[in-house]
Amino acid sequence: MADSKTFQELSLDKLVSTAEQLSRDDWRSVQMLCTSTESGIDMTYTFAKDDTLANYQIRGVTSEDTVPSIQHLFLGLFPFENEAADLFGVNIEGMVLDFAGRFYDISEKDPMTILTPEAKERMDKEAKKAAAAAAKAAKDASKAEGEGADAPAEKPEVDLEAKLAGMDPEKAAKVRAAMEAKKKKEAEKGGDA
Amino acid sequence: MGFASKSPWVIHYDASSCNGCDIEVLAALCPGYDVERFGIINTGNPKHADIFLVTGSVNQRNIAVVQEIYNQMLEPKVVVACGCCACTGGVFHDSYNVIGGVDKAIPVDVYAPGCAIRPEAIIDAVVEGLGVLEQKAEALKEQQKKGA
Amino acid sequence: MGQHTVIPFGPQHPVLPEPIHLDLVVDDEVVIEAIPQIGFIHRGLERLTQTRDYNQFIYITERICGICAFGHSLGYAETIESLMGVEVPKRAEYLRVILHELSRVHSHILWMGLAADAFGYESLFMHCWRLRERVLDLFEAMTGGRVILSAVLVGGMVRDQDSAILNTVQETLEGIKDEYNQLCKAFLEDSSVKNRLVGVGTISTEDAKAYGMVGPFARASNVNNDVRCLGHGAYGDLSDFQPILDTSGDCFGRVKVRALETLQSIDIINEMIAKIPDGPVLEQVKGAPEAGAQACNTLEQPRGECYYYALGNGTKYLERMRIRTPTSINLAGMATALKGCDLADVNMIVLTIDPCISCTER
Repeated sequence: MADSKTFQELSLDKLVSTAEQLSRDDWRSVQMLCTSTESGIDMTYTFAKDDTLANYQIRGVTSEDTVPSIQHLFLGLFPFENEAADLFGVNIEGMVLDFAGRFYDISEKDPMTILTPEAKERMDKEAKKAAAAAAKAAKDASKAEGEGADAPAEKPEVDLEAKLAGMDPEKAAKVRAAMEAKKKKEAEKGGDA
Repeated sequence: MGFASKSPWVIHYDASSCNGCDIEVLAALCPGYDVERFGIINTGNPKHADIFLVTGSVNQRNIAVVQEIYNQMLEPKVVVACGCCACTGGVFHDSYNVIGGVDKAIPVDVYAPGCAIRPEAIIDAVVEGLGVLEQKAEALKEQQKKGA
Repeated sequence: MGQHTVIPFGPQHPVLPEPIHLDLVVDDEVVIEAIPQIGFIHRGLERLTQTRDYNQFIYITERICGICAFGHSLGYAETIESLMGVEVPKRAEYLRVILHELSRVHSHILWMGLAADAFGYESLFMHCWRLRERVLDLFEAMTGGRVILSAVLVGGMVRDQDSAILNTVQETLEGIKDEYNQLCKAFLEDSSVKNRLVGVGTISTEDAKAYGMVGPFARASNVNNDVRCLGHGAYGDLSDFQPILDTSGDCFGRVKVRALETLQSIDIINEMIAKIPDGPVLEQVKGAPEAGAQACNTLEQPRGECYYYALGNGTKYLERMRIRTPTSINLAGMATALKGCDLADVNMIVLTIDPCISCTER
């Protein structure tokens, strides 16, 4: 028996009618999950029948939206709807078993929508690395075009910049400061002579 | 520690462990490692227990439960933190719902590491805990003498 | 008509090593309603994808639950493999099934021991756990760990198993089977066990379907949700696979399904060892999942169907990882089974769904 997994979009207002149809057609509820995105919360409802796993995705649910509960059709979903309310701050209305935000009882509010400082630092680092790689690629391209005609003195500095971008910020700052000092010294020497 | 003065009874509570340490605690008591042959019995009642085996780290909801069980136990009592999570928070140390090791909630006497903790380590920790228990019992006796 | 009383059950309760709290509304000795309350083990590990890359996260998924540890790492690895389009070597697939079925044997025997303890048959409990130690010895010989195995990598297995160790597995299981059959006699034929279990906590087929129940809990009510029938990985190479079903839907049916599944798992392991092909066990995986790529996957854990979902974002770190564990979807069925039962049967019913709370809360 081969199994099939499908993903399809669903609009929020069609949720209850779709669920009713699925319930009539003897589908069983598998789960509901949320993903935090920039435009809101994406909700994925999964149902199964025989060898088919159907995922219905509702995009960009904001804190102003109210999501109707489908627990009256699929009671098994109560842990997930309460979880969505607790961890993602989704407003779900009409739950049969409503724990009113005390399902997990956590100190942080909507923790799954928060980007931790560690993750942010890592992402910034990655973005810098990508930018540096792009800068280097651009430089290489222009070098190839000009056949090395442009000032060679400029090159090491750019490479260094690319390296610094990939480094840990504290270390990079130190290296930069050292370079500044060196330049200053050289300039002073030049002035003396 | 010389001859053990008594066979301690233990109580086990799963704070927010992954089950790995819990079943190893039970496995240590069951045939195979069989510490029951020394009269060490797992009890469900805090008032009967001498040694409190805690697995897993504490979180917002269970910190009160851990403290409650500890408070219900009679003196002298010993707390053994079983497994990495109970010692420091383990792999979950940076999760949003983990406060930290059990020592954030109650005083811990013996730290037993391992992920998951091995039954041998639990036995070692309980034997270590027995020594602490005897010291505490002595101290308690002294105190009572002074008080009388 | 007596007055309604609310009796708290748990979180620290001798029958379960794990904390779950139930508010039992009772009228005399009869439970009218049971309201589960969880959150004692919630760690929030789904957010850890922000700080662990997809290779590191496999060690987090293993620590969702120490009983189904291997299953979780396997389900997670399969999801990432389908997300990145990785083809796993055939030998690795066979080894995965062997270890997964071994962990089913260990999990079911462990559970049967706990069930025996719950209905007050302590020597049976001890015998089950003694037998289980021998499965754990096999794990230790194969992977070095007793409960957390760390044997799976994205793309295959950490290491190969030679034919000597596979022979040891077969011989040990043969030895376990004899003793296990004797224990099964006590579970399935003893009249005192039957008196305690038959007709307790019955769930009808309709209810089981309506609540979307999974695993042996559903199969005891004659609902087949066994994912192994779909033939993922090496399960597709089995000559014959028939899920074990029971029509009674009561506690005894659930014991029976698990008791027979253990024997079935031993047969699967033997067939896999006989058929295992030669070859590499690890496909090197490079790169990262594409941004916006998503994959879902199901796996039959000892406790039932488990659902995994992964969403990539173009880096080594996943945007979202979701694991829906079998117990969380079975909670609704459990609350229903508790309605109308005797107070003395509550621990028996809670136990027969084989709840895994640390799976549920993650």
